[in-house]
Amino acid sequence: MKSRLRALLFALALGSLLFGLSRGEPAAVMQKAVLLCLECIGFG
Amino acid sequence: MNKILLRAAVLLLLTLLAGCAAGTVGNAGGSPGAEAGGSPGGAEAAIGLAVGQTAPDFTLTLNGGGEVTLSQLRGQPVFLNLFTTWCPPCREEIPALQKIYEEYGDRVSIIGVSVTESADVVAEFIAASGVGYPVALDPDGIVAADYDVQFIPQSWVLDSDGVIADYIPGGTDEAGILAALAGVLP
Amino acid sequence: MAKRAWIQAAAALLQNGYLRGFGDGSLYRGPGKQFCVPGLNCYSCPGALAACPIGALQAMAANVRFGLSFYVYGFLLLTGLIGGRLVCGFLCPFGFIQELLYRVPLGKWRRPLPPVLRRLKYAVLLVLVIGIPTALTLTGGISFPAFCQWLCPAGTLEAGIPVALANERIRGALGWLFVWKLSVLLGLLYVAMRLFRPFCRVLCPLGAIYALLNRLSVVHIRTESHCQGCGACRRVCGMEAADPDDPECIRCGRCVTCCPTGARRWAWRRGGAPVRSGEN
Repeated sequence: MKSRLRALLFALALGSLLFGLSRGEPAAVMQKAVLLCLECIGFG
Repeated sequence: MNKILLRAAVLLLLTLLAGCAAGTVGNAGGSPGAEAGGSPGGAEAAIGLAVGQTAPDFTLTLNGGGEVTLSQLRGQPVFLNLFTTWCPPCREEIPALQKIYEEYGDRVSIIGVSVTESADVVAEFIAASGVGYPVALDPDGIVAADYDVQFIPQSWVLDSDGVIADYIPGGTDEAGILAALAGVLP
Repeated sequence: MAKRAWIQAAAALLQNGYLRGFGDGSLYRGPGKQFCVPGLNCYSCPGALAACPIGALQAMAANVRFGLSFYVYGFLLLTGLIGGRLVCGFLCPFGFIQELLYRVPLGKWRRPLPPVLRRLKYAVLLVLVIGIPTALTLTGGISFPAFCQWLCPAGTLEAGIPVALANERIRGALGWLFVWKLSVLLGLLYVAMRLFRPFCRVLCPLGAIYALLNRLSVVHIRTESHCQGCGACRRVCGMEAADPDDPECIRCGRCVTCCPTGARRWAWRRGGAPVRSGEN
Protein backbone atom coordinates (compact mmCIF):
# COMPACT_ATOMS: atom_id res chain seq x y z
CA MET A 1 0.00 0.00 0.00
CA LYS A 2 2.64 2.45 1.05
CA SER A 3 4.92 1.55 -1.81
CA ARG A 4 2.13 2.27 -4.23
CA LEU A 5 1.49 5.62 -2.62
CA ARG A 6 5.17 6.41 -2.84
CA ALA A 7 5.31 5.46 -6.51
CA LEU A 8 2.28 7.64 -7.17
CA LEU A 9 3.83 10.57 -5.36
CA PHE A 10 7.07 10.16 -7.27
CA ALA A 11 5.14 10.32 -10.50
CA LEU A 12 3.26 13.34 -9.23
CA ALA A 13 6.50 15.03 -8.21
CA LEU A 14 8.15 14.48 -11.56
CA GLY A 15 5.05 15.49 -13.45
CA SER A 16 4.72 18.61 -11.38
CA LEU A 17 8.38 19.50 -11.89
CA LEU A 18 8.15 19.02 -15.63
CA PHE A 19 4.90 20.93 -15.88
CA GLY A 20 6.43 23.79 -13.96
CA LEU A 21 9.43 23.73 -16.28
CA SER A 22 7.21 23.85 -19.32
CA ARG A 23 5.39 26.87 -17.92
CA GLY A 24 8.63 28.76 -17.68
CA GLU A 25 8.59 28.89 -13.90
CA PRO A 26 12.40 28.69 -13.47
CA ALA A 27 12.74 32.05 -15.18
CA ALA A 28 10.27 33.56 -12.73
CA VAL A 29 12.15 32.00 -9.81
CA MET A 30 15.34 33.49 -11.18
CA GLN A 31 13.88 36.98 -11.38
CA LYS A 32 13.12 37.16 -7.72
CA ALA A 33 16.43 35.65 -6.84
CA VAL A 34 18.71 38.10 -8.61
CA LEU A 35 17.36 41.42 -7.44
CA LEU A 36 17.03 42.22 -3.80
CA CYS A 37 13.70 43.52 -2.67
CA LEU A 38 14.81 45.03 0.60
CA GLU A 39 11.62 44.65 2.51
CA CYS A 40 11.29 41.08 1.40
CA ILE A 41 14.36 40.15 3.37
CA GLY A 42 13.46 42.29 6.32
CA PHE A 43 14.97 45.70 5.74
CA GLY A 44 13.02 48.87 6.13
CA MET B 1 29.96 5.10 7.22
CA ASN B 2 27.12 3.13 5.74
CA LYS B 3 27.28 2.73 1.96
CA ILE B 4 23.71 3.72 1.24
CA LEU B 5 23.99 6.93 3.15
CA LEU B 6 27.27 7.73 1.48
CA ARG B 7 25.81 7.17 -1.95
CA ALA B 8 22.74 9.23 -1.25
CA ALA B 9 24.80 12.07 0.13
CA VAL B 10 27.26 11.96 -2.75
CA LEU B 11 24.40 11.98 -5.23
CA LEU B 12 22.77 14.99 -3.67
CA LEU B 13 26.09 16.78 -3.40
CA LEU B 14 26.98 16.06 -7.01
CA THR B 15 23.71 17.60 -8.09
CA LEU B 16 24.53 20.69 -6.12
CA LEU B 17 28.05 20.76 -7.49
CA ALA B 18 26.81 20.48 -11.05
CA GLY B 19 24.46 23.36 -10.48
CA CYS B 20 27.13 25.50 -8.94
CA ALA B 21 29.70 24.71 -11.60
CA ALA B 22 27.24 25.65 -14.29
CA GLY B 23 26.48 28.75 -12.35
CA THR B 24 29.91 30.15 -11.76
CA VAL B 25 30.70 30.01 -15.45
CA GLY B 26 28.27 32.73 -16.35
CA ASN B 27 27.47 35.72 -14.22
CA ALA B 28 26.21 38.84 -15.88
CA GLY B 29 25.89 42.09 -14.10
CA GLY B 30 26.72 43.07 -10.60
CA SER B 31 29.69 45.16 -11.68
CA PRO B 32 29.47 48.88 -11.10
CA GLY B 33 29.44 50.46 -14.52
CA ALA B 34 30.05 54.11 -14.11
CA GLU B 35 31.84 54.61 -17.39
CA ALA B 36 29.06 55.42 -19.81
CA GLY B 37 31.00 57.01 -22.64
CA GLY B 38 33.04 60.18 -22.39
CA SER B 39 31.68 63.54 -21.34
CA PRO B 40 31.16 65.86 -24.29
CA GLY B 41 33.90 68.10 -22.98
CA GLY B 42 33.62 71.38 -21.19
CA ALA B 43 32.83 71.90 -17.51
CA GLU B 44 30.51 68.92 -17.12
CA ALA B 45 30.84 66.95 -13.89
CA ALA B 46 32.33 63.47 -14.13
CA ILE B 47 29.92 60.63 -14.85
CA GLY B 48 29.31 58.46 -11.85
CA LEU B 49 26.92 57.35 -9.16
CA ALA B 50 27.84 59.70 -6.35
CA VAL B 51 26.04 62.90 -5.47
CA GLY B 52 27.60 65.67 -7.51
CA GLN B 53 28.41 63.44 -10.46
CA THR B 54 26.53 63.31 -13.71
CA ALA B 55 24.17 60.36 -13.85
CA PRO B 56 24.97 57.73 -16.48
CA ASP B 57 23.03 58.34 -19.66
CA PHE B 58 20.69 55.80 -21.25
CA THR B 59 18.15 55.40 -24.01
CA LEU B 60 15.26 53.05 -23.37
CA THR B 61 11.99 52.09 -25.00
CA LEU B 62 8.95 53.43 -23.23
CA ASN B 63 5.98 51.33 -22.26
CA GLY B 64 3.33 52.30 -24.75
CA GLY B 65 5.80 53.25 -27.46
CA GLY B 66 8.49 55.79 -28.07
CA GLU B 67 11.87 56.23 -26.49
CA VAL B 68 13.44 58.24 -23.73
CA THR B 69 17.02 59.46 -23.46
CA LEU B 70 18.04 60.69 -20.05
CA SER B 71 20.36 63.43 -21.20
CA GLN B 72 17.62 64.93 -23.35
CA LEU B 73 15.55 65.58 -20.24
CA ARG B 74 18.00 68.23 -19.02
CA GLY B 75 16.52 71.60 -18.35
CA GLN B 76 14.25 70.11 -15.75
CA PRO B 77 15.00 68.05 -12.65
CA VAL B 78 14.45 64.31 -12.98
CA PHE B 79 13.07 61.83 -10.46
CA LEU B 80 14.20 58.40 -11.60
CA ASN B 81 12.46 55.47 -9.94
CA LEU B 82 13.98 52.02 -10.50
CA PHE B 83 11.49 49.27 -9.74
CA THR B 84 9.96 45.93 -10.67
CA THR B 85 6.30 45.01 -10.85
CA TRP B 86 6.61 42.16 -8.39
CA CYS B 87 8.30 43.97 -5.55
CA PRO B 88 5.82 44.96 -2.81
CA PRO B 89 7.46 48.20 -1.64
CA CYS B 90 7.87 49.23 -5.29
CA ARG B 91 4.14 48.89 -5.79
CA GLU B 92 3.36 50.63 -2.54
CA GLU B 93 5.12 53.81 -3.57
CA ILE B 94 3.45 54.03 -6.98
CA PRO B 95 0.39 56.01 -5.80
CA ALA B 96 2.71 58.58 -4.25
CA LEU B 97 4.71 58.84 -7.47
CA GLN B 98 1.52 59.22 -9.45
CA LYS B 99 0.33 62.00 -7.18
CA ILE B 100 3.60 63.88 -7.46
CA TYR B 101 3.45 63.44 -11.22
CA GLU B 102 0.00 64.95 -11.36
CA GLU B 103 0.94 67.93 -9.21
CA TYR B 104 4.49 68.63 -10.33
CA GLY B 105 4.73 66.92 -13.68
CA ASP B 106 5.22 70.19 -15.49
CA ARG B 107 8.23 71.10 -13.38
CA VAL B 108 9.96 67.77 -12.88
CA SER B 109 10.27 64.68 -15.05
CA ILE B 110 9.08 61.57 -13.24
CA ILE B 111 10.42 58.44 -14.92
CA GLY B 112 9.93 54.86 -13.82
CA VAL B 113 12.36 52.22 -15.06
CA SER B 114 11.33 48.60 -14.81
CA VAL B 115 14.54 46.61 -14.51
CA THR B 116 15.06 43.10 -15.92
CA GLU B 117 11.38 42.67 -16.79
CA SER B 118 9.86 41.84 -20.16
CA ALA B 119 7.72 44.34 -22.02
CA ASP B 120 4.47 42.39 -21.81
CA VAL B 121 4.67 41.88 -18.05
CA VAL B 122 5.21 45.60 -17.56
CA ALA B 123 2.47 46.56 -20.02
CA GLU B 124 0.00 44.34 -18.19
CA PHE B 125 0.95 45.82 -14.87
CA ILE B 126 0.85 49.46 -15.98
CA ALA B 127 -2.53 49.01 -17.61
CA ALA B 128 -3.96 47.65 -14.39
CA SER B 129 -2.26 50.06 -12.03
CA GLY B 130 -3.31 53.43 -13.43
CA VAL B 131 0.23 54.77 -13.70
CA GLY B 132 0.31 57.93 -15.79
CA TYR B 133 3.98 58.87 -15.70
CA PRO B 134 6.35 57.45 -18.31
CA VAL B 135 7.73 54.01 -17.59
CA ALA B 136 10.84 52.85 -19.45
CA LEU B 137 11.72 49.22 -20.09
CA ASP B 138 15.11 47.77 -19.21
CA PRO B 139 14.61 44.08 -19.93
CA ASP B 140 18.32 43.39 -20.44
CA GLY B 141 19.31 45.10 -17.23
CA ILE B 142 21.67 47.57 -18.92
CA VAL B 143 20.56 50.51 -16.82
CA ALA B 144 20.50 48.18 -13.82
CA ALA B 145 24.16 47.42 -14.44
CA ASP B 146 25.11 51.05 -15.12
CA TYR B 147 23.47 52.15 -11.90
CA ASP B 148 24.85 49.19 -9.96
CA VAL B 149 21.35 48.14 -8.99
CA GLN B 150 21.47 45.33 -6.44
CA PHE B 151 18.11 46.02 -4.88
CA ILE B 152 14.83 47.69 -5.61
CA PRO B 153 13.15 50.03 -5.25
CA GLN B 154 15.58 52.89 -5.40
CA SER B 155 15.19 56.44 -6.66
CA TRP B 156 17.66 58.95 -8.04
CA VAL B 157 17.07 62.69 -8.02
CA LEU B 158 18.86 64.66 -10.74
CA ASP B 159 19.02 68.40 -11.11
CA SER B 160 18.34 70.20 -14.39
CA ASP B 161 21.90 69.52 -15.57
CA GLY B 162 21.59 65.81 -15.03
CA VAL B 163 23.78 65.88 -11.94
CA ILE B 164 22.86 63.56 -9.07
CA ALA B 165 21.43 65.59 -6.20
CA ASP B 166 19.97 62.88 -3.99
CA TYR B 167 19.44 59.15 -3.71
CA ILE B 168 16.71 57.16 -1.96
CA PRO B 169 17.44 53.52 -1.14
CA GLY B 170 14.30 51.42 -0.70
CA GLY B 171 10.70 52.57 -0.84
CA THR B 172 9.50 56.05 -0.05
CA ASP B 173 6.30 58.05 0.23
CA GLU B 174 4.98 61.42 -0.84
CA ALA B 175 6.78 63.25 1.93
CA GLY B 176 10.02 61.49 1.13
CA ILE B 177 9.77 62.31 -2.56
CA LEU B 178 9.01 65.96 -1.87
CA ALA B 179 11.87 66.24 0.57
CA ALA B 180 14.24 64.77 -2.00
CA LEU B 181 12.94 67.12 -4.69
CA ALA B 182 13.10 70.19 -2.48
CA GLY B 183 16.69 70.85 -3.40
CA VAL B 184 16.18 70.76 -7.15
CA LEU B 185 12.71 72.10 -7.79
CA PRO B 186 12.76 75.67 -9.11
CA MET C 1 29.57 12.67 13.96
CA ALA C 2 32.52 14.29 12.34
CA LYS C 3 31.86 12.99 8.83
CA ARG C 4 28.41 14.50 8.70
CA ALA C 5 29.80 17.83 9.83
CA TRP C 6 32.19 17.79 6.89
CA ILE C 7 29.31 17.19 4.51
CA GLN C 8 27.30 19.95 6.13
CA ALA C 9 30.23 22.36 5.86
CA ALA C 10 30.85 21.43 2.24
CA ALA C 11 27.17 21.85 1.42
CA ALA C 12 27.05 25.26 3.07
CA LEU C 13 30.10 26.42 1.10
CA LEU C 14 28.89 25.01 -2.18
CA GLN C 15 25.53 26.70 -1.87
CA ASN C 16 27.21 30.02 -1.13
CA GLY C 17 30.17 29.89 -3.47
CA TYR C 18 29.84 33.36 -4.99
CA LEU C 19 32.51 34.78 -2.74
CA ARG C 20 32.77 38.04 -4.63
CA GLY C 21 29.32 38.99 -3.44
CA PHE C 22 30.56 39.15 0.14
CA GLY C 23 33.10 41.70 -0.88
CA ASP C 24 30.85 44.23 -2.55
CA GLY C 25 27.36 43.23 -1.44
CA SER C 26 26.33 42.22 -4.94
CA LEU C 27 24.18 39.26 -5.87
CA TYR C 28 25.04 36.43 -8.18
CA ARG C 29 22.94 36.68 -11.31
CA GLY C 30 23.87 33.59 -13.24
CA PRO C 31 21.73 30.69 -14.39
CA GLY C 32 22.09 28.85 -11.08
CA LYS C 33 19.49 31.11 -9.59
CA GLN C 34 16.68 29.43 -11.46
CA PHE C 35 17.33 26.24 -9.47
CA CYS C 36 16.46 25.75 -5.82
CA VAL C 37 18.75 24.37 -3.20
CA PRO C 38 17.06 21.73 -1.04
CA GLY C 39 17.79 23.44 2.30
CA LEU C 40 17.05 26.86 3.71
CA ASN C 41 19.52 29.24 2.07
CA CYS C 42 18.40 32.77 1.33
CA TYR C 43 18.81 33.67 -2.32
CA SER C 44 19.59 37.20 -1.30
CA CYS C 45 22.73 35.98 0.38
CA PRO C 46 25.61 37.60 -1.53
CA GLY C 47 27.20 34.19 -1.91
CA ALA C 48 24.09 32.26 -2.93
CA LEU C 49 24.37 30.44 -6.22
CA ALA C 50 20.81 29.19 -6.34
CA ALA C 51 17.37 30.08 -5.02
CA CYS C 52 15.71 29.29 -1.70
CA PRO C 53 12.73 26.98 -2.20
CA ILE C 54 10.67 28.65 0.51
CA GLY C 55 11.42 32.09 -0.88
CA ALA C 56 10.56 30.82 -4.33
CA LEU C 57 7.23 29.43 -3.12
CA GLN C 58 6.20 32.79 -1.72
CA ALA C 59 7.45 34.67 -4.75
CA MET C 60 5.48 32.42 -7.07
CA ALA C 61 2.39 32.78 -4.89
CA ALA C 62 2.70 36.52 -5.42
CA ASN C 63 2.90 36.10 -9.17
CA VAL C 64 -0.54 36.39 -10.74
CA ARG C 65 0.52 34.33 -13.72
CA PHE C 66 1.69 31.32 -11.78
CA GLY C 67 0.29 31.30 -8.26
CA LEU C 68 1.02 27.71 -7.39
CA SER C 69 4.56 26.70 -8.26
CA PHE C 70 4.50 23.23 -9.76
CA TYR C 71 8.21 23.46 -10.34
CA VAL C 72 9.14 24.18 -6.73
CA TYR C 73 6.58 21.88 -5.13
CA GLY C 74 7.59 19.12 -7.52
CA PHE C 75 11.22 19.58 -6.56
CA LEU C 76 10.41 19.57 -2.82
CA LEU C 77 8.19 16.51 -3.13
CA LEU C 78 10.89 14.69 -5.06
CA THR C 79 13.62 15.59 -2.58
CA GLY C 80 11.41 14.65 0.36
CA LEU C 81 10.49 11.31 -1.18
CA ILE C 82 14.16 10.50 -1.61
CA GLY C 83 15.29 11.19 1.95
CA GLY C 84 12.59 12.92 3.96
CA ARG C 85 14.40 15.22 6.37
CA LEU C 86 17.78 13.86 5.27
CA VAL C 87 18.30 17.29 3.72
CA CYS C 88 17.85 18.85 7.16
CA GLY C 89 20.46 16.59 8.65
CA PHE C 90 23.09 16.91 5.95
CA LEU C 91 22.57 19.79 3.54
CA CYS C 92 20.87 22.69 5.25
CA PRO C 93 23.33 25.50 6.07
CA PHE C 94 21.11 27.04 8.70
CA GLY C 95 20.70 23.71 10.46
CA PHE C 96 24.47 23.37 10.42
CA ILE C 97 24.89 26.77 12.02
CA GLN C 98 22.54 25.83 14.84
CA GLU C 99 24.43 22.60 15.45
CA LEU C 100 27.69 24.48 15.68
CA LEU C 101 26.12 26.81 18.22
CA TYR C 102 24.93 23.83 20.28
CA ARG C 103 28.55 22.85 20.73
CA VAL C 104 29.13 26.07 22.70
CA PRO C 105 29.61 24.99 26.33
CA LEU C 106 26.51 26.62 27.77
CA GLY C 107 24.07 24.71 30.00
CA LYS C 108 21.62 22.67 27.95
CA TRP C 109 17.90 22.71 28.58
CA ARG C 110 16.83 19.25 29.64
CA ARG C 111 13.07 19.49 29.76
CA PRO C 112 11.31 17.96 26.73
CA LEU C 113 9.81 20.37 24.26
CA PRO C 114 6.01 20.77 24.59
CA PRO C 115 4.38 19.02 21.60
CA VAL C 116 2.44 22.13 20.60
CA LEU C 117 5.71 23.89 19.75
CA ARG C 118 6.64 21.11 17.37
CA ARG C 119 3.45 21.71 15.46
CA LEU C 120 4.03 25.43 15.16
CA LYS C 121 6.17 24.94 12.06
CA TYR C 122 3.17 23.61 10.15
CA ALA C 123 1.27 26.78 11.01
CA VAL C 124 4.24 28.82 9.81
CA LEU C 125 4.11 26.92 6.53
CA LEU C 126 0.37 27.24 6.06
CA VAL C 127 0.00 30.84 7.13
CA LEU C 128 3.21 32.70 6.33
CA VAL C 129 4.53 30.77 3.36
CA ILE C 130 1.34 29.74 1.59
CA GLY C 131 -1.65 31.50 3.12
CA ILE C 132 -0.82 35.17 3.26
CA PRO C 133 1.02 35.49 -0.07
CA THR C 134 -1.66 33.52 -1.92
CA ALA C 135 -4.62 35.24 -0.25
CA LEU C 136 -3.24 38.66 -1.09
CA THR C 137 -2.73 37.74 -4.71
CA LEU C 138 -6.20 36.24 -5.00
CA THR C 139 -7.87 39.30 -3.52
CA GLY C 140 -5.96 41.66 -5.77
CA GLY C 141 -3.80 43.08 -3.01
CA ILE C 142 -0.07 43.61 -2.97
CA SER C 143 1.35 40.23 -2.10
CA PHE C 144 4.58 39.88 -0.19
CA PRO C 145 6.70 36.99 1.13
CA ALA C 146 5.43 36.98 4.70
CA PHE C 147 7.83 34.36 6.01
CA CYS C 148 10.91 35.97 4.49
CA GLN C 149 9.88 39.43 5.48
CA TRP C 150 8.73 38.85 9.05
CA LEU C 151 10.41 35.75 10.31
CA CYS C 152 13.20 34.01 8.46
CA PRO C 153 16.37 34.27 10.52
CA ALA C 154 18.38 32.54 7.81
CA GLY C 155 17.66 35.50 5.57
CA THR C 156 18.78 37.99 8.18
CA LEU C 157 21.95 36.07 8.92
CA GLU C 158 22.94 35.14 5.38
CA ALA C 159 21.55 38.09 3.44
CA GLY C 160 20.56 40.98 5.64
CA ILE C 161 23.74 41.29 7.64
CA PRO C 162 26.35 40.55 4.95
CA VAL C 163 24.64 42.82 2.43
CA ALA C 164 24.28 45.64 4.97
CA LEU C 165 27.94 45.29 5.88
CA ALA C 166 29.20 45.30 2.32
CA ASN C 167 26.83 47.72 0.63
CA GLU C 168 26.65 51.19 2.11
CA ARG C 169 23.66 52.20 0.02
CA ILE C 170 21.58 49.48 1.56
CA ARG C 171 22.59 50.60 5.02
CA GLY C 172 20.65 53.77 4.39
CA ALA C 173 17.44 51.78 4.09
CA LEU C 174 17.56 49.96 7.43
CA GLY C 175 14.53 50.53 9.63
CA TRP C 176 12.37 48.98 12.33
CA LEU C 177 11.64 45.82 10.41
CA PHE C 178 15.33 45.06 10.44
CA VAL C 179 15.47 45.64 14.18
CA TRP C 180 12.70 43.07 14.62
CA LYS C 181 14.32 40.53 12.30
CA LEU C 182 17.65 40.97 14.04
CA SER C 183 16.02 40.36 17.43
CA VAL C 184 14.42 37.19 16.10
CA LEU C 185 17.79 36.04 14.79
CA LEU C 186 19.72 36.83 17.96
CA GLY C 187 17.07 35.20 20.15
CA LEU C 188 17.20 32.08 18.03
CA LEU C 189 20.98 31.95 17.96
CA TYR C 190 21.02 32.15 21.75
CA VAL C 191 18.41 29.41 22.17
CA ALA C 192 20.39 27.25 19.73
CA MET C 193 23.18 27.20 22.29
CA ARG C 194 20.82 25.75 24.91
CA LEU C 195 18.48 23.64 22.79
CA PHE C 196 19.34 21.44 19.82
CA ARG C 197 18.29 23.04 16.51
CA PRO C 198 15.35 25.06 17.88
CA PHE C 199 14.40 26.64 14.56
CA CYS C 200 14.20 23.27 12.88
CA ARG C 201 12.03 21.88 15.63
CA VAL C 202 9.64 24.77 16.08
CA LEU C 203 9.57 27.13 13.12
CA CYS C 204 11.05 25.83 9.89
CA PRO C 205 8.42 25.56 7.14
CA LEU C 206 10.78 23.64 4.90
CA GLY C 207 11.42 21.09 7.61
CA ALA C 208 7.66 20.83 7.99
CA ILE C 209 7.30 19.83 4.34
CA TYR C 210 10.05 17.22 4.49
CA ALA C 211 8.75 15.98 7.86
CA LEU C 212 5.51 14.94 6.23
CA LEU C 213 7.44 12.71 3.87
CA ASN C 214 9.66 10.99 6.43
CA ARG C 215 7.42 7.97 6.59
CA LEU C 216 7.53 7.49 2.82
CA SER C 217 11.12 8.30 2.00
CA VAL C 218 13.16 5.87 -0.03
CA VAL C 219 16.25 6.34 2.12
CA HIS C 220 15.58 5.84 5.78
CA ILE C 221 16.86 4.38 9.03
CA ARG C 222 15.56 0.94 9.88
CA THR C 223 15.41 -0.86 13.20
CA GLU C 224 16.28 -4.53 12.87
CA SER C 225 14.52 -7.25 14.79
CA HIS C 226 17.47 -7.90 17.08
CA CYS C 227 16.87 -4.56 18.78
CA GLN C 228 16.86 -5.10 22.51
CA GLY C 229 14.88 -2.06 23.49
CA CYS C 230 17.68 -0.46 25.52
CA GLY C 231 16.52 2.99 24.48
CA ALA C 232 19.99 4.38 23.82
CA CYS C 233 18.82 5.72 20.46
CA ARG C 234 16.02 7.70 22.03
CA ARG C 235 18.23 9.18 24.69
CA VAL C 236 20.80 10.35 22.21
CA CYS C 237 18.35 11.88 19.75
CA GLY C 238 18.69 15.66 19.66
CA MET C 239 15.29 16.08 18.03
CA GLU C 240 13.45 13.92 20.62
CA ALA C 241 12.13 11.81 17.76
CA ALA C 242 10.21 8.67 18.75
CA ASP C 243 11.71 6.72 15.87
CA PRO C 244 13.43 7.50 12.56
CA ASP C 245 10.16 7.69 10.68
CA ASP C 246 8.86 10.27 13.11
CA PRO C 247 8.37 13.66 11.44
CA GLU C 248 10.92 15.09 13.84
CA CYS C 249 13.79 12.84 12.74
CA ILE C 250 16.36 14.73 10.68
CA ARG C 251 18.26 11.54 9.74
CA CYS C 252 21.47 12.69 11.36
CA GLY C 253 22.47 9.09 12.00
CA ARG C 254 23.44 9.53 15.62
CA CYS C 255 21.22 6.64 16.68
CA VAL C 256 22.86 4.42 14.09
CA THR C 257 26.27 5.13 15.62
CA CYS C 258 25.05 4.74 19.19
CA CYS C 259 23.15 1.50 18.92
CA PRO C 260 25.03 -1.10 20.99
CA THR C 261 23.71 -4.07 19.02
CA GLY C 262 23.88 -2.48 15.58
CA ALA C 263 20.13 -2.84 15.17
CA ARG C 264 19.76 0.66 13.71
CA ARG C 265 20.86 0.86 10.10
CA TRP C 266 20.62 3.10 7.07
CA ALA C 267 18.55 1.33 4.47
CA TRP C 268 16.61 1.57 1.24
CA ARG C 269 13.02 1.20 2.19
CA ARG C 270 11.58 -2.17 1.19
CA GLY C 271 7.95 -1.97 0.23
CA GLY C 272 5.96 -0.15 2.85
CA ALA C 273 7.24 -2.06 5.86
CA PRO C 274 6.68 -0.02 9.02
CA VAL C 275 9.72 0.88 11.08
CA ARG C 276 10.00 -0.75 14.44
CA SER C 277 10.58 1.84 17.12
CA GLY C 278 13.66 1.53 19.29
CA GLU C 279 12.04 0.40 22.49
CA ASN C 280 9.98 -2.64 23.49
